[in-house]
Amino acid sequence: MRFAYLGLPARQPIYSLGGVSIRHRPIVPTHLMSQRQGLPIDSAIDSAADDTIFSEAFARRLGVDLGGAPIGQGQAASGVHFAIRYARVRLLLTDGYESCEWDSLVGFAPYGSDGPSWGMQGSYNSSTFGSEGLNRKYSSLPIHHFMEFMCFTDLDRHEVGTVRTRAKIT
Amino acid sequence: MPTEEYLAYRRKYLENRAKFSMEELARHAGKWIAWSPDGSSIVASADDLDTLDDLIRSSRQDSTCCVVEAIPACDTVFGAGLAHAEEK
Repeated sequence: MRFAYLGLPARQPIYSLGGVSIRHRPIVPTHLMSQRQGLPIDSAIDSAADDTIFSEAFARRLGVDLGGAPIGQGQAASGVHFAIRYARVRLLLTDGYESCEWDSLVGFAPYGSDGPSWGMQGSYNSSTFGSEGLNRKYSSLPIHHFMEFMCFTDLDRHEVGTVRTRAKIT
Repeated sequence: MPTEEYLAYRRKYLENRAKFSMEELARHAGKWIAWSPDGSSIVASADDLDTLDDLIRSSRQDSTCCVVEAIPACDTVFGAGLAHAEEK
C-alpha cells in the first residue's frame, strides 16, 4: 500500500525545516471496527510507539466496554504517565487500491487533540504486502502473515520512504 | 472486506485530503475535525470527540463515513497524541 505524507499547517515558519509553514506527517486513514460499528480515523504512524493507541472516546463511540479491560501503563513524550486499557478490535487499512484487515489488540487512553498513534504492536498479525509488483486485487490475508513494510509517497505516488516494521509470526 | 465502492471513496478521500487548503486547515488547529466522505470539505470541528460526534450527527452526515482527524495545536509534535495525555 502507498500513502502520501499529508500536510498540516504550522502556526509560524518552522525553523528546522528552513522556514516552511507546512509539516508533512505519515498519516493514514484507519478504519477502527467493533462488532457494533466502524469508525474511520486519521492515524499517525509512529515507529517509536510501542503500542497502537486510540482515544477512549473512540471506545465509547464503538461501544467497546473498557470496564473490565486489562490495564497497562504508558508514558507520553512529555513524561506524563497514564493508564492504557486494552481491547480487541478489527483494523482496516487501505489506500483505495489495496487493503489489509485484521484483528488487533489496541490500547485506549485519555488524551487531547493530537490524534491517535499507530504503534508497532498494532501492526502485528497483519498482512504481508509490498509496493512493487503486487496484484492490486485486495484480499483478506491469513492472520499468520505479518506486515513487512509500508511505503510513503509524495502526491504523485512516487515512493519517498519506507517504514520497516517488526514482524511477529503467530 | 471492503467493497469496490468503499475503495473508490478512499481513493477520492486521499486525493482530496492531500490537496486541501492549509489556510483552511490552520483555522482548526488544536481541534478534532470530521472530513466529508470524499475529503473535499470539513463537516464539523470541535474541541473534543464527543462534541464532534454530536456535530456530525446534526449535520446529517454518516459518522461511519466521515474520517476523524486531530489537527495539532503545536508546530512540533512528539509521541503523537500522547504528548498531552491526562495523568491518571
